[in-house]
Amino acid sequence: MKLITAEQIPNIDRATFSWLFRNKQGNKGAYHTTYPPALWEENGIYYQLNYFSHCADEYFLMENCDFSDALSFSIDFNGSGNLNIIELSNLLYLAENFVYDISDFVLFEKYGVAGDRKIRTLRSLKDLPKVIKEYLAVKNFSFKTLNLLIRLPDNLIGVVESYIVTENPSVSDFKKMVTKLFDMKEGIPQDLRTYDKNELEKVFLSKNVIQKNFLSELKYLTGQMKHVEIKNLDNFETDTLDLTFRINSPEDFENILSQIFKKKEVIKDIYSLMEKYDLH
Amino acid sequence: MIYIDKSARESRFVDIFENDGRTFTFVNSREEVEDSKNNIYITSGYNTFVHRCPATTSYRCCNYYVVDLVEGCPFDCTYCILQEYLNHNLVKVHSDLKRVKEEIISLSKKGVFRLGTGELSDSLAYDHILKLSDFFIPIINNLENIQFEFKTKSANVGRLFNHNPENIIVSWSLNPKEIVAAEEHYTAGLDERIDAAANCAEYGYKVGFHFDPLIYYNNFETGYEAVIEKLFEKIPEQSVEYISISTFRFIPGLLDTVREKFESSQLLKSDYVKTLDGKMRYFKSLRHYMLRYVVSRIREYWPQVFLYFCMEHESVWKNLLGYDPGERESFEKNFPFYRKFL
Repeated sequence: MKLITAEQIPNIDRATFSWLFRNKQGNKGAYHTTYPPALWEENGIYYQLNYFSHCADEYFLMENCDFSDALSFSIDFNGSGNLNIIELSNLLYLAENFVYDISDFVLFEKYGVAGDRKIRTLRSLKDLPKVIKEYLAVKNFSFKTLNLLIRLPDNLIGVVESYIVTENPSVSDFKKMVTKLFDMKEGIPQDLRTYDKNELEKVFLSKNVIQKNFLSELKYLTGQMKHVEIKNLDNFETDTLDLTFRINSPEDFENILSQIFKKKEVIKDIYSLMEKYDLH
Repeated sequence: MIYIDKSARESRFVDIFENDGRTFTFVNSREEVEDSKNNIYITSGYNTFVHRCPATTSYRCCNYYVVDLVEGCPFDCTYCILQEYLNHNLVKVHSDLKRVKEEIISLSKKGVFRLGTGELSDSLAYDHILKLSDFFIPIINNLENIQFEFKTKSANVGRLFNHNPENIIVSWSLNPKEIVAAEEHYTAGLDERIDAAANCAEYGYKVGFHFDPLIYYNNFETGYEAVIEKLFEKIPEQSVEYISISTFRFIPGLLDTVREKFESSQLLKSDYVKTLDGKMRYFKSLRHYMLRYVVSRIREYWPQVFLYFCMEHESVWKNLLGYDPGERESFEKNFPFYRKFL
């Protein structure tokens, strides 16, 4: 490495290697420059390898190195232990842009990115809207979910984007939403481009109208038997009902039994309902 | 492409391929073979070939026996359990036919059984290449108490007409045209299957049909009605040995595979519940609806044909067919084949 001044370099490409994708908090440390930024030159272009948006008076120029060395420096400088998925995607894009054989890239292996499908998924993340990228960068999703996300049609990517803005969903809710959108994509109006809870619920409801109608009617009936929980533990594969209640005294017990007796019609109604739905 | 493990170089298949002028390659191990559905890999590996179809006691099982000589299938049905069950895509064929024959004969000494090759593969998809019908039919013809089933989604029945079958059933899995097109990739079309069945029936084979898996979709009723009407038009009732009907069921995890492999599937458009054997099924009300519909349509045309449900709850049997067949050995007594032994 040798130290050179800014005047000695005609122009510097600060964008190409700019793979970091952190929120402002994360970027703070990265742009607190202790040393001059590093440059790597190829075909007359000087690529800035760190402090990406920072212009300096002096730079370290890496000498006698190839793309692989430059990339390693850039990654090691920022720390390779805690990269988010969007940064991995940016690094993949960068490597492929320089026609670098990514099978030599041990970093991907370290992050569990192996196989064509995962590479394809990682490649596609780059084209997602910024809101989604920012969300993915701070969460931890499996490639299974990411793979469904990147295969959604454009209008549903818009739905996901506005879902994030509107609901700031948990990882679990986001995963469920992406899966449902993927499963039901043909049934969602193509002109739906933003998150509309009611509209989507209408489509998702079609996945099992019968069960939902049954459960809704059942809920009404079981609600009439206060202090006694009525459940079927096998998704109504059998007609066995579990009745659960808690007592703290013999009086409680008598009261509950008395209530059950008074409301015994509820049990009859539940079995009638089950019969109506072919569950008894 | 056909690959033969060097350990299977003495197998009957080598002679068959040489006589037919088929190109094949000898390999040292499976690692040398690309794991593709287009590849057949003949191996001498040891296996217990004949065994009882796995089942649980929570749902009624018909006590069927299977011969797992071939593992893997050139077809690519979205709902296929082999995607989860096998660790390879290629079609693996065991070469030890002598042992298979011994196991079938040994089974026949233990009682009356229904046996088939359709568990880990399609029975006839590669019959023009492997000629397994030429192997199985003569064995079964000498065994009075074994009924053997070739279960297929192909129309590849040409070789069956070289035999005079005894106790051989040829059966087809059936689904509406739109389900065949969307979910049963590379299989024969519905019309081709039914035409093949009609030809087999005319030749003298008993035929069977499997409405399994029934798949729920928007045009469920019209779709399945059309299949049943077509069957009725082309197949005489007396040629039909049995019809099975069962709704889609699967081990948790299959739908993730479906999502990964396929862009779209009707299977993803429904919700499922975990049932007593740990498998996922449609909610019981919907299963009832689907089964009742198909049973009633079939009964309109064929009132006498033996119908059964595969892995269904006893309450469904009672509600829709009016009786509980009981567990395995009791269940199987209901099949027409057993009646002559009673």
